[in-house]
Amino acid sequence: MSAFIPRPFRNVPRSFLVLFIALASFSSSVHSQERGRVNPSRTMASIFPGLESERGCCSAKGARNDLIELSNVQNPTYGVSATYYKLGPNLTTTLMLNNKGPEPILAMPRIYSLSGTRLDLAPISVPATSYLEVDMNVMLAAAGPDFREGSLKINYQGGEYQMGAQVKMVNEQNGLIWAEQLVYTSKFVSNKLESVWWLPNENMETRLVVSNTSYSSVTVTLSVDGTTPQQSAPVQITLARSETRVLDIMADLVGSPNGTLHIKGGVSITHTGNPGAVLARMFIAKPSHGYSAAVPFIDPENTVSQRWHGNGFRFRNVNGAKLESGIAVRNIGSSVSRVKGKIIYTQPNGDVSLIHLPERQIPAGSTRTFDLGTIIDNASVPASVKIGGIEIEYDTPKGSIITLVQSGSSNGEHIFQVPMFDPQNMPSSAGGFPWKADSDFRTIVYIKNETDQPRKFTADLLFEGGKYGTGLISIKPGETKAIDFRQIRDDQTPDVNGNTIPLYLEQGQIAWSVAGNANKTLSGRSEQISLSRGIASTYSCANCCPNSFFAAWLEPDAVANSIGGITPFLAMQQDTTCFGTETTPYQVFADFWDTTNQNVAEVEFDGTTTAVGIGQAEIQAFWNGTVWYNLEGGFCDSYNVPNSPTAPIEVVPLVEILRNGQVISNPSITTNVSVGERIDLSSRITDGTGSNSQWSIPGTRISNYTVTYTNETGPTSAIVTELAPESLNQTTVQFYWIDGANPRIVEYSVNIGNQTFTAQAKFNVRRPTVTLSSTTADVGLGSVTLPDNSSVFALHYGSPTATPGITFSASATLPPGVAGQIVWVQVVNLSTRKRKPNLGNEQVLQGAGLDTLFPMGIDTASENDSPLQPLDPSCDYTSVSANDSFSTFLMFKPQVASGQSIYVPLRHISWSWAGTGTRGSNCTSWTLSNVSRTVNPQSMDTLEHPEWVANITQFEFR
Amino acid sequence: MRKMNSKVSVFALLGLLASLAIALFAQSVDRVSLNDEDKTGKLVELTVGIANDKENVALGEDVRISVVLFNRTDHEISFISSYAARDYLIEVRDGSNQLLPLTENGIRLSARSAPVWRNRAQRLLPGASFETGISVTDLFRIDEPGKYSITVSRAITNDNGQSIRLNSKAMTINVN
Repeated sequence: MSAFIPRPFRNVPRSFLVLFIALASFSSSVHSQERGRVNPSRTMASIFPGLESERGCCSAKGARNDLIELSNVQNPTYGVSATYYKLGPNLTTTLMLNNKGPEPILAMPRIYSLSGTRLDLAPISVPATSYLEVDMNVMLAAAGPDFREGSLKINYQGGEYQMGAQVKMVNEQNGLIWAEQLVYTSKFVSNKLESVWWLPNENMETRLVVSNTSYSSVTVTLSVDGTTPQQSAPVQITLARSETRVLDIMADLVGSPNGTLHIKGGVSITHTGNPGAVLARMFIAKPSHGYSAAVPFIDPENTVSQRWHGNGFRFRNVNGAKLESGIAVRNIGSSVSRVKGKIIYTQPNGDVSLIHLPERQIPAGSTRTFDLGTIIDNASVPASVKIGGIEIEYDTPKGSIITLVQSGSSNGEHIFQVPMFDPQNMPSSAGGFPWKADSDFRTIVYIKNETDQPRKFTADLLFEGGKYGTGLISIKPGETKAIDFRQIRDDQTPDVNGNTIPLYLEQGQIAWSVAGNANKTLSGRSEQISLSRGIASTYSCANCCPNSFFAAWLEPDAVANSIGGITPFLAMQQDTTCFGTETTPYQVFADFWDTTNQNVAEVEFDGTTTAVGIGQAEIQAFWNGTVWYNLEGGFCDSYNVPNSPTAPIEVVPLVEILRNGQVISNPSITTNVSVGERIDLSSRITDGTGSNSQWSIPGTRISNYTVTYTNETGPTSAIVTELAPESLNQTTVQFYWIDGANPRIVEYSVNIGNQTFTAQAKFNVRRPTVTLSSTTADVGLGSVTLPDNSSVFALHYGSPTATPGITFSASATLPPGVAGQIVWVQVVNLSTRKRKPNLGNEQVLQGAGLDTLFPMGIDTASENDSPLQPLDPSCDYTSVSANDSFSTFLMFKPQVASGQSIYVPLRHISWSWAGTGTRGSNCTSWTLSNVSRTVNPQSMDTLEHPEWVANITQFEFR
Repeated sequence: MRKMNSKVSVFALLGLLASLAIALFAQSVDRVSLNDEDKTGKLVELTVGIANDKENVALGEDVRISVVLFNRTDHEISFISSYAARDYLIEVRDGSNQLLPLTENGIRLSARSAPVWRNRAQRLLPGASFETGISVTDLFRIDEPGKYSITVSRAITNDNGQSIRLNSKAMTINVN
């Protein structure tokens, strides 16, 4: 029995205003507006090598958004915006669209030229729980030159935070990347933007981009700190509706094109629009060093604490190489700020360690940078520790300190920025990121516990055709966990449900969430890294709320066990994301376990159940699942759902199969035996009385094979005793297998009361493999050599002193662990010999049986035979004939440590020879006729034993 | 079995050692041998011993002997192997040194015109032996108690194609 929560619409309906905006944005239109500019001709060309400046114009042709019918609009429409994009011959500009919902979603791109001209493109369908990477060069191929550069917005219908998007501009030639995650402009609370920069040196190419995301003109005031000469006064510019401006800080803000931009500094922006009306971003490049970075701006009033936290702070590169790291701190307040912090990392043994950063005083209006690499070195962090977390706190008013943390390789080729956020103003502790693992791309997820209490979380990789789940992961206070699904894929590490990530998989979606009712306790982001391309980008897209409980059950869902049997029941839970995507089931630790009948089954605190008496009981687990509701305004609230799934357990008598006193009816036991080895099985019933025993023994098996033989003149026989049906109805059974198989399951069933119970034993029955071939000679009539080297006249098949009638060759391979003897056995199927004396009647010999010796040969690679019918003297006879058929076997008898063994047939050859000799007018004139023989007869595998009741030598002429 | 794998070969070796052990054991009980040298000066040995370790047998009881051909040379020898009454010349003499008569079975099987089904060209590698079990009472009439001596002989062919006849020393049994 399982519990589940139907997936209702958990989102509270939004206002019709959003719908109105959505409807308005569907209109396909191209607008052009006037705009104010500081330097309208300046673009990003100079920091994107090889790309000439492209100025926008006033007309553009784009795909029209004619596909959306307004009547189909059912969900609210949301929009996310990016400050800037650019197309160019040396740039690969992609738009990544990440749909975290369980249904496809339509993304409606709206492109703005620098001047603010609008172009609505055809919607893009993003499949459920997956992401697309759209080449913007292709997407805008039909657009005019105005749209080679500008800003963009993506509208979609769905849930808040359901769609994530990112613009990536990559110059692969120089290993440069500028990535910008699209933001909800509705989340800004003030009309201020602040940034802090930290450059490797002063000769960097930088551009500042400001973009008006609103449909009204705004006045933007820009102040810069960190230049020589200093900015004399803030600069004001007016941005027309949707206009984007690319600025040179020294030329456009300081008014000194030949001045110097310091390695550290910051830009402050205020504007006259509503919060979120202006976005800004600073782009930095040093193409000759493969260095690139994009500096974000934050809303300083969108803070509620005096802390900045970051996760995934890299001490070492993906390849283990040491990184140089540091922090830039800018005080935008009016008083000296005391700043301190700590780096938190996990030791190889799992302990969490701290490195305290010494307190620094940051004067008002200034920027300071601090080397973190030396501090980490002095702390003797083990080389195997590659990442950690960083936490900064200050004592001036909230939002007065801005930080930038980054690590980089010494050559500047690899730069890893650590996005810093206010731990008390986090989005929900759940998110969904694209997982990219083609080429040498590696997507690493960082989850950090921002509290002083241990927490738990789950992380899933969702992909077409499957899911992979980590199960519950415990995370200590302050600890950062890194999850590399590519490594998990390459190592083929099974997940909590035994599934692995297919080796061919290169794309998927990561879904993570805090477990339980503790939202805003964990932070998470992903980092995509390609060492070969020298690029890395960060992405963090929160979900509207943490995952909600969806279903609960116990595993196994039903058990039949015998007294003393132990069953480890697992309490299982499955969640859904706040968008309704079902995640991977995982084991939880129930608060309490119970049984409905302690006389039948006892259960321990961890679900381990012991069968103690015959009967039936229900095992039940109790714990609370958390369901989250997304409230208007981006808030989440939760309530607990009591879970109490049950699973029946039936305790039954124990039925076992034993061999030599040892129980072998255990699924984990495979009993290795050999063909020809006697198998003695018995059954045992505990806590019951059985009737109607029945053995099921697959394969070719017999009760016995008895060979009686002392010498070639004594009585002999070889008899197979079949396994009688009634012998399978006993509590014990003895038999020999003739054929091999792995596995081979023997089953014993018995009635106890009115129920039938079964035990199974698994065998690996091993059988040698052999080859057997033959070559034959001719039938002849004449003088042949006898064992005493004398000669005699005979009708003969070949000659032992020349070419034998038939020569056999064999080879054998014994399975590992098998020893024994391989023998040759030959039987005469039927022999008819006739001879006609000069006087009297024709004499006839007819018989069948063992051919003289048993065995004919032991462990020999070759045998031969040259049967004959002598006439001595030949003058006493007028005719002679022979017609013999034989079967020659290779047989195996295993060497067993104890017990008995029999010969089993492996392979055989059937062969024959015949001929007639007729005397002419004198004693020496014989003629040969009626000759026949099997020529080079082929061998066949056989499971049929040779049987006989006599030795062929016992038959006489009569 | 030269073509078989090593494990089989091990068992071939074990078989060989077993034969050697039987031969050595027979020597320690009641066995004499007549050794004929081949041209290399080394020995091919034919021995005869009591198969069931019984020197004294009751009248009417089966008398079984074991004949072992041991190649102590450094080269292969060959012979024809069909069945004992045909392969070996067996002589059983009573206390008066008189040859015992053959049984009907013995007469039939030792006849030169007796039918032959097994007729094998046998090769014996250096160091190898070949053992045959023979029921004397199947072939010879032992009708009275007494002391009997048994000898066997057979022909072999050396690697030059020369035929050599091997004779065992006489062994004695007591029939009570």
